[in-house]
Amino acid sequence: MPLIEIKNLHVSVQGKEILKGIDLNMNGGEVHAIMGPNGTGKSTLSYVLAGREGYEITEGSVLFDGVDLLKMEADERARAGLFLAFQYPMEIPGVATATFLKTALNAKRRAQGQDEIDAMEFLNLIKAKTAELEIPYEMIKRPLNVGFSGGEKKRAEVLQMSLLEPRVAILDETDSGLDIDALKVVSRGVNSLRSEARAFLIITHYQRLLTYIVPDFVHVLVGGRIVESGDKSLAELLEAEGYARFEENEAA
Amino acid sequence: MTKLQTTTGQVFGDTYADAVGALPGAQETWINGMRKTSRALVGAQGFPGRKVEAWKYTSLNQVEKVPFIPAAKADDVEVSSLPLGIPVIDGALKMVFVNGVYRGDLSDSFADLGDGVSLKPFADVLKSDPSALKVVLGSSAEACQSFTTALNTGFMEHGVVIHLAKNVVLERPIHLISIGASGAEPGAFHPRFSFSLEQSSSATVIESHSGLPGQAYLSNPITEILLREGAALLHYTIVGEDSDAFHLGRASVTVDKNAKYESFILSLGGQLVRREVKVSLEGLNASAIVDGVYALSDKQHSDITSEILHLAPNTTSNQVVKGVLGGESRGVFQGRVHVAREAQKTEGRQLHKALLLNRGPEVDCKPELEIYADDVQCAHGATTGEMDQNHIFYFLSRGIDEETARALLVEGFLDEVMFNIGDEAVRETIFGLVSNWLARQKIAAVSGS
Repeated sequence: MPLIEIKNLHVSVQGKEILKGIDLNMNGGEVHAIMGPNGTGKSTLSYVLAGREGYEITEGSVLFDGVDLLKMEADERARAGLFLAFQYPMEIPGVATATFLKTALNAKRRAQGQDEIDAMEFLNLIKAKTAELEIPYEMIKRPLNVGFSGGEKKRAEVLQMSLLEPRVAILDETDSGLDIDALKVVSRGVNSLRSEARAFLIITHYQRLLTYIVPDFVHVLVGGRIVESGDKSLAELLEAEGYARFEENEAA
Repeated sequence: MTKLQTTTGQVFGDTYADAVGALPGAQETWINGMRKTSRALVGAQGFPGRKVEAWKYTSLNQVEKVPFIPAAKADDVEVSSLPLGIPVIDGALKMVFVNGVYRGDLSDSFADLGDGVSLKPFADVLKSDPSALKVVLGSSAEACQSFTTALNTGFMEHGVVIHLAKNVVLERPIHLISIGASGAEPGAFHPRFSFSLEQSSSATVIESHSGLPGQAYLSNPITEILLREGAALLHYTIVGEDSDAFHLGRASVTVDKNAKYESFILSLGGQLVRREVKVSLEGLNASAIVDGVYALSDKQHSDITSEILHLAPNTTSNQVVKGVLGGESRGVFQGRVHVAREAQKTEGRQLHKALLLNRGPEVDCKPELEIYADDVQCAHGATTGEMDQNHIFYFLSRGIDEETARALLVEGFLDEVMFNIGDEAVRETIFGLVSNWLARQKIAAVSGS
């Protein structure tokens, strides 16, 4: 059984259809990349999967490990192992990063019938993870994402992902706003999480990220549909040729 | 419909005055005079209506309707222990007042606080040594300036008088605990707290105001503070009155040269709470922090009205007041910052922020900056907003349930100002009170989403 099974998914926002029939299966161990020009529904797909309000599902279904994902609340989805790394992580004044991380981790642990994490164990875990992602440890004492640079925010997202160990991770334009060094660190973090039990959906505009996180499948999303799928060579082709030929087809 | 002012005459007029009877200190012409003038003001002007600028956003209609009796005369209520609502601050010396009356049996002994520290029940001082009050009484709390003060001054009898001699550092915080408890009839009480800190002395004083459920009561405390050159006071006021109760309270503070007044007000309400604070920075380099938090639910009304007067050069004031409102509550913040012509090099900062937990509450905010000096740095800001749904979604997307998310966001909103509370034991108590308040709100249930 696939980890994620999306069938004929149609989604509208304020009466306007954005996704017009998405079909996508993802198995454990696989990395899927979704590429496409701006405004074709890439972020919509990530938000619908994560359970954000304001999206109307008019047709189709999404199964997460065989369970109807669309019937679950956003927090239930997360506790069940779905993770979205945001394109623009929110700044939350007044809430320390450490508090946020610990609350999220404990919510997941409780859902799995585990005890809350011991304070010492948590600190050690965070120390190890921040070192791995080259995040200054002091950062976790600061309010979540407040005053973080673009690169720091993306690293903080990967830190959260690494801590919560999701089964399905969606990365929404994680490469945007990153310089090459930050891109390498973030990619290394993601690659270290690749495992047979985990699937990744990487949403990106550019091929650049995919040279560091090498996908098993590449899908082209144009006009709310997946118009072509292939292996990593498709990404290279798109980088060279652009999306023009798909957009012409869409217009026709 | 026109409201007749005679109503006041009935409520706090002759009948009430007769019931109060002769008050201690009556032999002193000047005290008698103060009382008379104040009663006349209350009688003549009545309860301030909405047309009085200072009371535009807070209506006293509800208070005016209640036929209060002097609570000190209510002998049908027995309070033999402290209510649990507001804990005694760790390590503090407590002085307890029930219906305004000092209760030695519930208080700690204050006989042996060391040289230069004097702590006495107000009524005792009025009886035995009224001239000791001449300097502080009426020094800044002027009846003609505030209805709240006039009402108190007209009937003041009980309270506390604290005096610190030059250079005395009072390590142990003083916790004044006021408890309202009405019997068969609704009671009103008018405690008077007078602090004078001589040159370079310092102290920490906490006031808490709570009460027992039952008939409504009116608590009308005035705190009058005189800080001499180089003195420093940490002054915390916690108002968590019973849900039917009214509170009209004020702190009037004079800050001399190089003296520091640092204060925090926590208002968890009652039915209607108005806290007034007036700080006069009268000497060179005088400074004040006048922070506060209010957290309201149901139909509570809370008003924080502040006046900060910069009257000398190089004076500084900082004020951050934050409010969290649920239910159909009403919050008011009025903040006047006045910089006199001679108060050059003044720094004054004021910020008010309110967070609405649903669509029910309303907030009225009136900042006023009056600057007559030309070399000053003054800034003020005010915002009112609902909780950001995008923020909540971020928490949800990490597996944190909505109720926890909202609680963390509210705490985060308030932490910024609460972390500035200088005294650690007080800070912990206030964090505890706010977190209990949050737990009671079930704030996810009112999210409307």
